[in-house]
Amino acid sequence: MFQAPLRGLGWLCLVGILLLGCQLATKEGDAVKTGWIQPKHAKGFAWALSDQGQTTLVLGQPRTGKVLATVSAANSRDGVEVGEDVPHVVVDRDKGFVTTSTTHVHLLEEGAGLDGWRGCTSLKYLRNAGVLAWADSTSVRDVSGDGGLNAEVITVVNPGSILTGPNQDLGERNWPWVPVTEYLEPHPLGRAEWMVALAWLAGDSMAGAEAFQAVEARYAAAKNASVGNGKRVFTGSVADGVWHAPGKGSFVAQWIEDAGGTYALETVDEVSNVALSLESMLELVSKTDAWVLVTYDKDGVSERDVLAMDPRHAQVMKAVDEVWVCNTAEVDYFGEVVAHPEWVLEDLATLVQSNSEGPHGVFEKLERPSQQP
Amino acid sequence: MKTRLVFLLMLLALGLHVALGEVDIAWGELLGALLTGGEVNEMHATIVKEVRMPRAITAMTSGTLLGWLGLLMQTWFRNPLAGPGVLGITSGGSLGVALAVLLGWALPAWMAAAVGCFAVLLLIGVGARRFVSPVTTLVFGLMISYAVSAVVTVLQSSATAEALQTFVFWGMGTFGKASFLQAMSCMTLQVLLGMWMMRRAQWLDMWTLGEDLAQTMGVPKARLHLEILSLTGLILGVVTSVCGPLAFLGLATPHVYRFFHPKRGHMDAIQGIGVWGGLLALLADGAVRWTDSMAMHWPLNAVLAILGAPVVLAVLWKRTHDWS
Repeated sequence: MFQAPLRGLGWLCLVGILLLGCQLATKEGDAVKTGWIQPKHAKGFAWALSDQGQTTLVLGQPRTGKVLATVSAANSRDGVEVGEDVPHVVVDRDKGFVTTSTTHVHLLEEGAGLDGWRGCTSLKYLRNAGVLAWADSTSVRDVSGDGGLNAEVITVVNPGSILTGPNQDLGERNWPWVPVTEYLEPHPLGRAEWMVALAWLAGDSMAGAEAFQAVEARYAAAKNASVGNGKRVFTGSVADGVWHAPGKGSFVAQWIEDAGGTYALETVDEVSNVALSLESMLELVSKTDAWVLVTYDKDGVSERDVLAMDPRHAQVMKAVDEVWVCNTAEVDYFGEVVAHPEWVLEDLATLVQSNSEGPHGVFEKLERPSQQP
Repeated sequence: MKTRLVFLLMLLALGLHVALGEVDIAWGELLGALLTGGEVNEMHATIVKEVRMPRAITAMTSGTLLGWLGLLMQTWFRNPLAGPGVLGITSGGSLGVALAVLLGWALPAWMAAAVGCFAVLLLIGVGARRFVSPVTTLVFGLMISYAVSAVVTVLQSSATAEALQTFVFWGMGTFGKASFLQAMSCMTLQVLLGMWMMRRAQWLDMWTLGEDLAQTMGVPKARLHLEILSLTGLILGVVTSVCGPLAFLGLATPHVYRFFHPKRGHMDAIQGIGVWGGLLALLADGAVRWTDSMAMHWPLNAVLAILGAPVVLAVLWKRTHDWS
């Protein structure tokens, strides 16, 4: 007997909540209207534009969507609703920037250029002769020190922004930390698209956008030229008795798919690395045509080196027809290559389509004396 | 070696710590920056006041505090291998930072370390109420250490490379991240612990004669136990949160003191270990800063062990000290 009055009361509450919601929305709308500019591939950043003309860069974790910080040249982020606890970083473009990763340097070099580059923690890891010559001629300071950065040198350099990773305490010393999460992007073009965000930070977003468009066009051309031939490709390596491989949703898997291959780890939809037991891995690898191995060896990678990493690699090599090696001692896989995902794609596509090595030398086919008759 | 001489050496090390660095600052400017008078370059004043001073004060006070805590633990457990880390409080700090960094909790490392330290202290406090002997507390602390290490290892195994790097760097220890407020907190704690230790020096002397004898001489065991636990937990929590886990200073400083100064009572030891701790920490941090300027970047914990281990080994080699 109470059902009808209760239903009526429920409807009344619902209408009340809706009205209240509309009222809040109107109030917010009256203050500052905000529009959003989303990047095409990247998930870790976006720009918020207020009707008062302020642009705020919103940075987040690409895999979870959690907002890490907002960045602008102004002291506030009017109209950007990201929560009170999200720090707002005020950057001063005239003072330049400091980088804490070789990837930052190459993304900036490719986009806005290195005019504002004042300091770097990874100078000794940079390999590009042009970048090193630039650092030398413009007296880019080595800002590395005990606990991460050398506080004295940073005080002298006084940069307008410090590019860092997502785990940095953004409140440390009130420095203008800008968290960069490019390596967490699930798409290779998403990683490269960070050159646009970094170019915006450096004060020349147009240069970044143009550079990225060129990269994107070459990537699309290479992708369109690749025909899916069903070649199954696997990647990863053994560590402590467990096989670690990028998941199906990772940028590595995306590269293989875009090159016309099939990523062997099909059933696992993980963005980050997946740990497989050796048994599962051997079962999987038995249905695989090629193994992509990313490793570091300054004397070059031989079959013996691969076996020296872990004797169980012998089982993998027995099961696959080919091993494609990216030697990070020779290829700047974590630096220059991030800004050029089309190089990896073009080389992978050549290997998938024709079994020959690609034009950029990112991968080389491993010579396997033990497999020869 | 006279304690007064070591004190002068410590003051000299403190002065050099503030005066020397990556950036050359003239003596006149340095004094101007410190005394806020005269023509001072704004940047140089910032370096002296916000970078060098907090670092030097934190190094000196942390060294003193850890040395005193080492003495306290070695006296309380009557074991020369005891150090501030044996109660598991430092591991609690590691767990706090591991949770914050490896699981991505939105908490600065120093705050997470403080929360972790105090959580373990609370646990030890609850356990200690049941335990009759300090040795049981010691074993309880060690077990907590193992359990906490296991959790940290599990967290590390599934962490991202960058999170792992952050955690590993935190574990290397540094005086370089301390703010002026944190340095002042360490200094306040130094005064607090120094006063308490001087007040309890007689009880600690009696305690070295044996638990039963000390009680018959009027030492209130339960009260001393509570005071030692509370102070150790509070101070170690603060030091770990500011500098990371610094294990070696606490263990080594009392041994270094005993090497240079023949067997003395706690009143003398408190003064001697205080200045030796400050001096060793300043020397170690000076070496860290020197390696920084040479682009080598040696971690503080490694330098402490490199400087401290030979000294402790020399002590053991030269002396057949009766630790009981």
